[in-house]
Amino acid sequence: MSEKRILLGEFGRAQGLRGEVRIKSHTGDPMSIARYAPLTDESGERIFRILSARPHQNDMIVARLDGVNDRTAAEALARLKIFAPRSALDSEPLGEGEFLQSDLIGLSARLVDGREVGQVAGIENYGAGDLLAIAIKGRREPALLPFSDDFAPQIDIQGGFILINPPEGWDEE
Amino acid sequence: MTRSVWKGPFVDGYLLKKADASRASARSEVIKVWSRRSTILPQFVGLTFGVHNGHKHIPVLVSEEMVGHKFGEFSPTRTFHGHSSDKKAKKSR
Repeated sequence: MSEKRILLGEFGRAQGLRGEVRIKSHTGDPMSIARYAPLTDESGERIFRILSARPHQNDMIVARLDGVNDRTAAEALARLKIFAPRSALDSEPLGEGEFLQSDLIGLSARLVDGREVGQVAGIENYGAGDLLAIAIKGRREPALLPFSDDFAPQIDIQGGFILINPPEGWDEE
Repeated sequence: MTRSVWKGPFVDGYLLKKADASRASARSEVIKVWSRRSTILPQFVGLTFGVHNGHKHIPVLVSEEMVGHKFGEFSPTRTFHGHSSDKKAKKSR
């Protein structure tokens, strides 16, 4: 089975005439996209090598890529999404109780009695700590649950599940 | 202009009653709250409030650092869903 690919950014418009291109980075620190290798397209066939990068504005960077030497080549990259294999993110050190969001998304959410209630659809943070967004069957919007030891006592990424102990009324719409 | 100290922090009365009831029952529950204007008090630490954002209740697990802020600050009315990429999620204690 092929390795899971993580979306890290997207090419934007060409910058100048010398083959530089803007990249909209989805990484925590926009510049860190240049640290990961190999960067590929969605299929994994085309590999992009960033030779140099500088910050532009907000989450945008301007990069020079190997084999992209003029504006025409840079323009051809526009709107292409940039992926990296999951193993490329292993270089990022994780603290105690820290997880990569991409590892948590897709895990099956099980109650402590073993019943499966849904799947982790995303991680939200509105300033009061991380929240697990759990997509529940038959519900339009995901239910939110604080990501804490009390409410998510066990996480088994290899096993593909997260054990949750939700408070009463957490899944009411 | 800041609020006069002699008035004390503003909290809607029903919130205090709900928090006391939740503490007394010792059950794990989400206390539904519409009062975004209420100040978070020290006695709310450790409780989970579902703060309404005009659309749904956002769970807010109150920690010590949040004391003195308003509930509405932790339940945005406009949301943007970004990409996960290399971002991390930290489990709170």
